[in-house]
Amino acid sequence: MQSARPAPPNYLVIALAFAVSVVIVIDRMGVAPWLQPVTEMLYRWGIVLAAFGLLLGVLNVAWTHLRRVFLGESNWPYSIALIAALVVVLASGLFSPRGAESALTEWLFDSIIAPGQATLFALLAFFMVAAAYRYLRVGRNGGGWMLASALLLLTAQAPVSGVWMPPALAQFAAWMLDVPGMATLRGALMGSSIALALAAVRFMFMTK
Amino acid sequence: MSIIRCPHCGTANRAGSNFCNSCGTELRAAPPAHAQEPAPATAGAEEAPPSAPATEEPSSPPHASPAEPEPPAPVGDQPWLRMEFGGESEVPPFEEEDESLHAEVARLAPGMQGLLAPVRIAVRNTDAEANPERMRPQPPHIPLEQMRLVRRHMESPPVLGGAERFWQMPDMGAFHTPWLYLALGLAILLPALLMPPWPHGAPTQWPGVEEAFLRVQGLPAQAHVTVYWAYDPATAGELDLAALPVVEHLLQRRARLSVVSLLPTGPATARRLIERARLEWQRSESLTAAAESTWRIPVQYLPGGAPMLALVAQNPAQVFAGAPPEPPDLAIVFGAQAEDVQHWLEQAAPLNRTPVIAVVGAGADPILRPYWNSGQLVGLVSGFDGAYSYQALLSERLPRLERSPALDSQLVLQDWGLIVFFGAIVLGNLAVVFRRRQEP
Repeated sequence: MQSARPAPPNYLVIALAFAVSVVIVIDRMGVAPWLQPVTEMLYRWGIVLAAFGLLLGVLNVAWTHLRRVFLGESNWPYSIALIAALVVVLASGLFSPRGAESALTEWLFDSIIAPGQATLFALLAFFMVAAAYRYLRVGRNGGGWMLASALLLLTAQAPVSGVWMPPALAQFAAWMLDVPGMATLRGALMGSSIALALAAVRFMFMTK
Repeated sequence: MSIIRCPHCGTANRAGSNFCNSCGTELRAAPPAHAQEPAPATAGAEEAPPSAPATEEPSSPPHASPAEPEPPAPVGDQPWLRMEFGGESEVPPFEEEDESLHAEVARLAPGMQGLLAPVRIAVRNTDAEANPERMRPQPPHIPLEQMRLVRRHMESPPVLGGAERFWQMPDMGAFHTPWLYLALGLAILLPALLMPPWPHGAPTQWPGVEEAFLRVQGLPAQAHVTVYWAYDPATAGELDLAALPVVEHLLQRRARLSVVSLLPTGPATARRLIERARLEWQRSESLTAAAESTWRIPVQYLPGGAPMLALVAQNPAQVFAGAPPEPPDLAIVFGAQAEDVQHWLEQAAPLNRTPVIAVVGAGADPILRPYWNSGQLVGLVSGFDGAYSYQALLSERLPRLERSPALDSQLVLQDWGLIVFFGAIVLGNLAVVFRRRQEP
């Protein structure tokens, strides 16, 4: 029995991606200033494509939730709320001469979006205090180091400690961040950058 | 022809097979079924040298003696592994197994099959054809105690190599969590309501704040400043306090700002803070409407992610209508996370060589501190400490601008929150100490 053959790679897409990456890389190296109009055009295309992708995403979300409502799937009232919010925000921007700065849009932002986002983010403090209670302990493997680092940085960055903290402690905290912490971080960044470059090459040339 | 029984499913396999043809179980450890089933003379015995001397040294290989039977190969008869193997014709024909061989054999785990469907090479699985009911998977018979052990292992977190001690901490349970949440909530709520003046303190002025202040102070009038607005209302509680004195300072210096954001709610956040700064500035300097109108600040949203920042740096006129094509005098990143500043430094800064000031949350400070040390950032203002220090510099050198009272209350609240954090850490460690004392 013959197995189904994998679909052939789309060589046109690969060639386009490779050509664009080569143009951008050469332009970023600064060896071909005449390429700058080309890269600017590519960036503008990227903005247009991203905006189109955003629109497609909105349509996809709307269609998905409309279908849930029509089919009566579970939690369909939430889908109605989502679609209603989408229509209201869209209409408030589309049908106002001030566009995204219309009075209704501004009210929605100030009364719903901003407080909602701030509230969700504020919950992070509760999770952090629970995590500090459970995991910053000396009994764990490496827990002593983590505890010492956390205490040092919390102490150094607390506003109240600026009164009594000796300068040497602040300098030691800064050294901890600048030398050992940053050496580790830079190493991780370098490794991930190389991995990203290799992944891009593999994506373009090694389709199997 | 000798065969080897699979200890897993009972299928008869050719002697010398490494894996079962039916279920894939490894057969190399299983002895060939010589003892059970007498087979005709093996090829190995036939190939023994007939003229080997009977008086050979005892140290010679045993197969050299025709009088002694050839010991079985470790994995059975495998003529294809010999150097002189001539091809398929030398492979002894496989004999159909006798029906008597279907006798019940002991299995390691009855009814359980291999994970992968094996590729059949030469053997037909007559068991399955003759008795399909027998080959149907049966539920495994696992003792209750073993089942409990498996369940306990599945419920516990994974144990890293040699790190058993890591998970042997005393179980704190969920009992303390509501009390922690209550303590933190009270530490935030009570100072917010009662507004106690303590503990206030004076935050440490970290390196980078004064340099940022001096860089803005040194801007010429009508200097072009590009602002990358990388925070939204979620983090505005901290970032607004840090950004407000910087924007006030920029407006006071009559800088021409061009604001770009990659966040959908970034422009609205930027407009609100700039409006607050403009009102403060208007109040302090009695700004006329005519002068105000000359500083209409463009705020642009760019879809497409961080790569689009390159276009902002390469040709600002493509993004901001009426912006000069030349590089700006200064770039400022208002970002909640270190990645926002890194994106600007990677995508935009190498293209226009504009000095960059980062105004970020306290969490981003440790990661960005080396960028400041290396000179990639000409100023770094982070968190409440940075906001406080920048505001202090602004009030000290520009007495017209008063220090925001919100900043003082935020500092008190932050101190109370940090006290709860310290308390939680101390309590957690005390719990470990007391639990150990209770243990025998």
